[in-house]
This record gives sequence, structure tokens and C-alpha cells, in this order.
Amino acid sequence: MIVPLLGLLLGILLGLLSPLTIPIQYSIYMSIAILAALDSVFGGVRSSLENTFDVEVFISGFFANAVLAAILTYIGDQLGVPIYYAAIFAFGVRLFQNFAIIRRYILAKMKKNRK
Amino acid sequence: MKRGLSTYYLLAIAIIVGFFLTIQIKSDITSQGIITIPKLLAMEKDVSNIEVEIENLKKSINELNQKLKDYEVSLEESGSIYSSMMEEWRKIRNYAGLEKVSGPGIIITMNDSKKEVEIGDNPELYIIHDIDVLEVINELRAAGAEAISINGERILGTTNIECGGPIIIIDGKRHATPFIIRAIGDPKVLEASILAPNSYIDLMEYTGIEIDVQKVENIVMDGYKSPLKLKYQKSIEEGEKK
Repeated sequence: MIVPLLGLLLGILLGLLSPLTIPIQYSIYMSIAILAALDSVFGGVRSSLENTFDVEVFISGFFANAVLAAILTYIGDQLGVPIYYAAIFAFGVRLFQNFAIIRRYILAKMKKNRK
Repeated sequence: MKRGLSTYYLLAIAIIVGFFLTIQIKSDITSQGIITIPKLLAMEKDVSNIEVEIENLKKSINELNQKLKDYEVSLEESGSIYSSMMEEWRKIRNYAGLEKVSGPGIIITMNDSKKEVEIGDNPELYIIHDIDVLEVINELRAAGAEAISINGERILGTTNIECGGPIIIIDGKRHATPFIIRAIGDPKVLEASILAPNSYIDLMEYTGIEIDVQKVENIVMDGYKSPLKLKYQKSIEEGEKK
């Protein structure tokens, strides 16, 4: 659990140091990418806690999800319908689910330690 | 081994998340939310307003360029821009109402009512007040009058018209009925707007106030005669602070 937080801090530091900024028309893509990455992090944490972590699933999941979300966003942009909401919804739901499972694992571990 | 591997990947992805997050926040993008149809229409209106503004600015650029060209031409022709500046100066003085001018327009003659005041009616309604004159002047200006005078007194932007009992006071000078209002402008437009149904004059005629409107081919109007007093204002270079 500490490793992802460390990575997050490192990433924030990198972001602060880099001179990159995002043009406004790509901000939606950026937010979708953030969501996809966040989803992967939670999924990864969960699977590593469950000892079912699979590199291929993890990496392919991250990229495939991000690409699909980007495509949805693009199509939505062209149609004038915010289809990327579907991606936000899917990622969001899974994020919370994964978080709930992680929470339970941690709580169970804490209880075990106490005993 | 398996555990260690997952850690590296998680670290990598977490770095990506942090990086993206920071960049997104740094880009200072305000959420636009859903664009609804009313929002879209409002935006379209904004855009068209701005386009009109741009159009106007372009026009004023053209005008200024034209002026610049005039200056250049007169500089080439006579060696100085004196003549074109003089012309501009005269134009400004005409606009301010300081010069004697002539042009087509209308003459309105207003006189107090000669009807007997009916019992129970307000006698105030049968005479002309300062406010009546002001209303008529405003209507003339709305109809595009370029120069206005009352009983030979030129009306400027700073002119005040006050009540003085049976008379009215225009810029400190007393004037009695009949009030002869001269206005230079498009005679047809001026007459039509002054005599339109529900215009001020139309309403005044109910109480028998005598009003006569004449279209005139050529009105000659004196400039403002009193000295100009500028006590408090002074010229500055910078634009007005908003």
C-alpha cells in the first residue's frame, strides 16, 4: 500500500517539475487517462493483496482501458453526446468496488494482528 | 517474487497517475460541464455580439485610417495638416453646437392653451412647463435631430431647462411662451416622430395646448452664445478606468 502512495508523490513531483500543460480540448482525454490509471492502480493493489497479480492482465488492462476510453471520448466528441460518461461510470464503479475489497483485506489483517 | 514484481508495476502506474493529475491541475482547466441547449444559445449570442463588436472596431479602424490618409494628403498638398485639422475642429464645434449652422428641419411652435379651464380640472395642465419642453427635445433627439434651439437659445448637451413659474429658464435666461423649437434633421422623420400617436405632443394636445409643426427647407440657427465654463474637468491622455 505504501508503494503506490510513494509513486503518487513521485509522479506529482515530476508533474510539478515538468513544463507540460494540456490544451483545453484534450482535458477530457487527460481526465479519462487519469481515471484509467487510477483504476489500474486500485486493481493492481487488490490483485496483489489477493496474490492473483498477473503482469499481462495488469498492463493490457491499463492500456486497453485507456484506449477504449479515449475512443469513446472521441466518438462522443464527434456526435455531441458525452459517451465518455460510460467510461467514467465503469471506472468509477470498479474503483469503489476494488477499494472496498482492499479495505476489507486491510481490516482483516489489522484484526488478525490484534489477536 | 510475484509480490515484488507487482510492486514495480504499481509504482510505475502510480507515478503516471500522479504525473497526469498534476499536469491536469496545473493546466488550470475549469470544468465546462454539460453543454445544454440554452447554454449553447447563450454562447452563440455572445459570439455574435463579439463579432458585431469586431465589425465596429474594424469600421473605426477604417475611419481612422481614412483620417490619417487625409492628413497625409493635406500634408503633401499644402505642407501642413493645418487645413484638415481646421476642418475637423470646425466639425467638432458644429457637433458641440457652438457654430452657426443651417439645414433642413422642423419648427415647433408651442403656446399655452386658450381653452377655458373646465371646472374641477387642473389649470396646470393648460400651460406649458419646463418638463414639456424637455420631453419634446428628447423626442427630437431620439428622432435624430442634430441641432436644436428654443426661442433662439441653442441647446447643448449641458443645457438646463428649469421652471420659473409662468416662464421657463434655459441656461439662466428667461423665456416665455410661445416657445419656438427649431430642430435640424430629417424633416420627415422629425415630424413623424413628434406627431406620432402617443407621442408627448399628441398627449399635450388633449388639454388644448397649441402646437404647430412646420417642415422647413432651411433653418438657420445661431451657435451657443454664452461663454463656456469649464472649471472642474481637464483633459487627460489615458482612457477611462472601468
